[in-house]
Amino acid sequence: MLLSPLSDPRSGFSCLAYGQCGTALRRLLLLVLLALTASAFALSTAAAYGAAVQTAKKSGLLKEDSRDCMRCHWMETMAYRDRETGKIVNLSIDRDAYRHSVHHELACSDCHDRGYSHYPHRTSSADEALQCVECHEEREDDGAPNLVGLHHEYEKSVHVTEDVEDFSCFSCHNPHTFHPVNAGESIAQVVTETNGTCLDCHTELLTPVPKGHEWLPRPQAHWGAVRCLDCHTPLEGRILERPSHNVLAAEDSNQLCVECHSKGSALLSQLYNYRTEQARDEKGFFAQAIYNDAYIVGMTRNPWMDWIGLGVILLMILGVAAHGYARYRFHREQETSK
Amino acid sequence: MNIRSLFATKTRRRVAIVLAVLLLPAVLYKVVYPVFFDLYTGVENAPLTYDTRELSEAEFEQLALELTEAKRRERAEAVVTEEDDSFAREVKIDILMNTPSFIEEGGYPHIEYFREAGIREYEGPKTCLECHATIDITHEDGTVETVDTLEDIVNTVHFKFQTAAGGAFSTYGYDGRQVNAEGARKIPVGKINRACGIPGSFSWTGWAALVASRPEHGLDEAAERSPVEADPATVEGISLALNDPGKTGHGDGEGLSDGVVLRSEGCGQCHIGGNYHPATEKMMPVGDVPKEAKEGIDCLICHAAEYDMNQRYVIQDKHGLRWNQDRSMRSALTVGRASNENCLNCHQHNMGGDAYIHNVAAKHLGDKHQRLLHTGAKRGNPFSPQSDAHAAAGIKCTDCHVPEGHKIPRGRKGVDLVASDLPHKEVSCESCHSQAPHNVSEHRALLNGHVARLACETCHITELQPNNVVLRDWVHPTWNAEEGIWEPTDVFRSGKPGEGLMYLWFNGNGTFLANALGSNPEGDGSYNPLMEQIARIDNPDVIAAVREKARELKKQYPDIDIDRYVEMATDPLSQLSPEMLEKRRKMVAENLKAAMEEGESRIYPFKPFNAMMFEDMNNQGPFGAMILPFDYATYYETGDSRAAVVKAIQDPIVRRMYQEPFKLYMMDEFMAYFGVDGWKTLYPLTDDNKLGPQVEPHWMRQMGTLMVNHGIQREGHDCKACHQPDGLLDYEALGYTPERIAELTSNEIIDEIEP
Amino acid sequence: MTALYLYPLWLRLWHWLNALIFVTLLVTGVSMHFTLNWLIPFDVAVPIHNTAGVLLTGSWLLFVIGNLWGGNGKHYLINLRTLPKDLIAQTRYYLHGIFVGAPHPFHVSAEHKLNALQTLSYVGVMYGLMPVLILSGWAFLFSTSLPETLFGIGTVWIIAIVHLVVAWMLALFLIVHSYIITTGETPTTNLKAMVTGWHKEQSSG
Repeated sequence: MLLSPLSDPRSGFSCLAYGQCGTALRRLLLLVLLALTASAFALSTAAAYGAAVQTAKKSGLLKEDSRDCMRCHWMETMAYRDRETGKIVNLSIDRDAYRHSVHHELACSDCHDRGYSHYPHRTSSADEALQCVECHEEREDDGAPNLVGLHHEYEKSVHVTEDVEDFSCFSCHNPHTFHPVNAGESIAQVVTETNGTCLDCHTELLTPVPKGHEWLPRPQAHWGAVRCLDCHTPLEGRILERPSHNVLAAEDSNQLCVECHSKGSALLSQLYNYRTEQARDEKGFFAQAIYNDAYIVGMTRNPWMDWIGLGVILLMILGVAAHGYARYRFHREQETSK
Repeated sequence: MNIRSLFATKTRRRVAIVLAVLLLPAVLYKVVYPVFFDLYTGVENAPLTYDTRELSEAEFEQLALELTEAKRRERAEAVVTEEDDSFAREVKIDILMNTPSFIEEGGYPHIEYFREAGIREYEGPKTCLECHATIDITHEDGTVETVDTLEDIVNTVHFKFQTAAGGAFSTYGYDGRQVNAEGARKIPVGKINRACGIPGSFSWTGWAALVASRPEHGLDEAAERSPVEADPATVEGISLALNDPGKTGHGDGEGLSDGVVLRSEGCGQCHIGGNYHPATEKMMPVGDVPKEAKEGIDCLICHAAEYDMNQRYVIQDKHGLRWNQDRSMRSALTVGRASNENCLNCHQHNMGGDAYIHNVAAKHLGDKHQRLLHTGAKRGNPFSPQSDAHAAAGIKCTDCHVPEGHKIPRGRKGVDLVASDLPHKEVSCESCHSQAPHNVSEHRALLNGHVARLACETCHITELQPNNVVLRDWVHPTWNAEEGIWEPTDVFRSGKPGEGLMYLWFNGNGTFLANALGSNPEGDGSYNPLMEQIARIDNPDVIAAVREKARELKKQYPDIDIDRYVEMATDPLSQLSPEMLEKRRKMVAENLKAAMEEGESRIYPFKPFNAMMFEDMNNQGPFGAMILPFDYATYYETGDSRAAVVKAIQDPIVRRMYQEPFKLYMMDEFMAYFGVDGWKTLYPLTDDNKLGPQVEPHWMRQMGTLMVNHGIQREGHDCKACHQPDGLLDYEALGYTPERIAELTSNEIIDEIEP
Repeated sequence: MTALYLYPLWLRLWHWLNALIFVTLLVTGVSMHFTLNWLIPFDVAVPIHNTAGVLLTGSWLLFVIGNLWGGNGKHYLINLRTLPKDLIAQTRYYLHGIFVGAPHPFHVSAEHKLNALQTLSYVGVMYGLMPVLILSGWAFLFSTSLPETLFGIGTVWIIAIVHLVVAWMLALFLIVHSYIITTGETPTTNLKAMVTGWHKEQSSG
């Protein structure tokens, strides 16, 4: 029997289906009760997976039959070429990335609960129904964030309105590795990670003169410094916590340099929100006060220098005015004395 | 103006002095240095002559016609394949050959070029350079550079057999330093100056030899019992060659006694220089090869479709021995880009081996002084349509080894110490096949999963040629009655996994003695090939075979202690003193750990090899070092291996190696990479031309591991070949934990797949 | 009354052209730097600033050529021997003498039209600051071909700082310059001279 081709070319995996979420949750709760047993079990057998896995004791991958799944799916190159699209579909689960993902507590079967008890797998059609939002809807109880608002944004995005074929959450987000931006990550890291998601598909933008961005000086430098999303999401209604999922079409996107290259840039405030106080302290006075805020337009963007400059000018004007006034006064005195 | 007036005034004299001072270095460099160099190294240069003549117009046209028709016939035969009836086939071929459109296509374009240019004689590189003085090189990044053709070629490894290019194959010294790394002192390394156990010599001392063989049963029977066994086609080829009186050594007896046949041997048979010696000049930081050597380059062996390998034999003139080459117009008219056949003229020798039944060159041994065949294969992984999936699919060598000008990449992985022209250029399965190569099997995702840990070759080279040499004893030669020569004794030959093919972790790094380095990414840290796998042979079958061979050898060499012989051959570390062994253990742990754990290791197949040769024990470390070369003629003719060493090391260049300038120039650095402190210049020959007491016969302290990448089979090993308790892969030796071994050898899943 | 023809036509034309360009650059520069969209909108300011910058380069070259071949250059030669004395005198005059009606320590003549302080500041501005400003401006124009970093600091930032600091200093110069010209015999003496070319004084010195 063939491993049936999965619809998603990016991850080859899908998320929880709403219908199965109840099962998943119940299992999860059950697992909490079984935690002692499970972790003892995990401890006793972890050696089999080597040191890397030993640190992943909490991982859902060590629960239940997940270990059986991982006997094959740990293989980094586990993949096949889809017979319809010709693209390589990756079936590998990076144990370490999974451990750091938001879903790390889930066991494989919490989501993939049909047809996987034997190899070759009987079916994976159940996976096709898996969706993010259906699990992440009004689910405050288990800590899974509510993604409904985000889904509304997404539905307005160019990826949906332009009817991009087979586009889904998983085109950008791999549920096996997904994690929110870690506090304290450097801006460069945040930018690289986020833009990586876009550039994975938009490979045409990796050329020296990328299509549609001919007007932008130093495109590669820009892509290392700002997120695609900073220009390609609406300026209005931004929230600091996360980028909008309403990805704009090229013609609606922001092309005004000054939107970034000015003081208090609305476009960048969201990105720079990721920088923690701690990170700012670590960077030191010089880097923080002068270097990091510097770029072409508005030049230094450094109020400290601006104030000094303005102050000196003002003092000079005052000095000159005083000198002039004094001259005038002495002149008048001389006139009258004459 | 006479010469005196040139110096008439003070100013003129000053100008003359300045000019002289400026010219002096040029004169020193161009005139004095080459003379000094030749004197110092004992090499001789003379204009190289070949048997060529100018064709008349009629002869030219006749030859052109023959070649064109032969090619057209070849093409027609390739098209008309489905007709079984031989007569009907002939008729169809004939029809096709006379079809106008078929006549127009193909052919040899140079026939027309030569015709128009009035070229009626091929005079070597000179003729080629008339039109091809420069060539355009396309680099990997797409940039095009125009270079001088001759300069380009004399700087390739194909010509100079060494390079000081850094990072080549990421070879590491046992001292832990990467050889010729960025910032390190660069020394030339390659075949030119590294004696090795398979050729038994190096190109300095083994360039060209004429061996007086004494076939016991005469020529005819020698042909029948040719080392190329079993294949009628091959035997026929050799018989033809040997039986034609005009093509044997008989004709030009040159004062030889009856029954003596001269045979050609030496490294030069496969290398493109036609000089009396390899391009030693290129090893120095300054200097160039002389004009004569450049004129001796054999362009056609790589570029002529109809190159006649029967012209490759050793000739002797008043200056010495050198290799003849095919400089016929017949060959020259068929020039073009190098084809697989061109590459295989030489490279099948080290891949399939001389005895490989589809080795075409081995069937054209020479019109005279026929080349000696090497019956033990160096790698035993042939590249030919019959034995390799890629060759069968018509893939060209240069499709994977994409050249830049005359520089050809070998890939970034490789441990065989041979220099590489483009060490950073990728040659890999993945560059074409991607990381998901399997598309047919229902278990393709599972198979693809293996790519993370296994090289493609591990499954898809199922075995090597059976004559693949694993253990070779040069010290105790065996008489080959049919060929009439003394040969090194191949103590063990096998192409089977576990015997002549072994599996090791490999990350692309190798040592200075060709040992694959790598580590098990999920292992317990116990993987230690230099102390275990490649330093010992455990397989009882192999040990029994070695013992059997030792018994055989004892008949000829009564001094042999069979038990000790077997121990040394199969446990070469037993040759080390306890202190040396401890030092070795320490060096492996301290110096090579980083090189082993670097990057991503995968399991690759390797051909293991060890040899017993004479070593200079003054220059030895825990891993080995200075192996002494053999003089081919002495060795093959007398079987006196000691005398052969004596003769070889009398070569001026070996004497120079044992002197201070060479020590400082490269030998100290060489030894450092071997983990030995400084090169000892005590020349291993006593005044009465005997080998000094420091010369002892030894097996190398570990097996060399040669990477095998050709002979790719479409059907690889099946799952159970490895996933069972006694499978091909020794998981314990590969450093897996007992738990993981249990998993890897369990049949639970395999039984579902292959019931 | 004395009247000296101090400023030939080309020099006056150049001066006012240069002034116009400089003020343009200053205004557009300020509006870009502080993103003062009410002053000049950003996208308007950029091309004007760039064009004016190129013109300023040409203007500066004219100045250099004029000084080399137009005979004006001699006014910018600093007499090192008398410099300290002259400087002290001139400074004393501005800080004290000017208020008490002391005579001007320097007398304008066809040979010496600039006093020591003027010479020093004009040389500093025209041969010191101006080239730096122009070069850093050009570096901005071709910022895409600059190296990423210089001495481990972002090149663009270094250029930006240099351009800004020099611009600040030149703005200061403009203020001082505009004021100092009022210190002639009458507040408009010098201004008129730069318009008509004739330096006229009532009293003879």
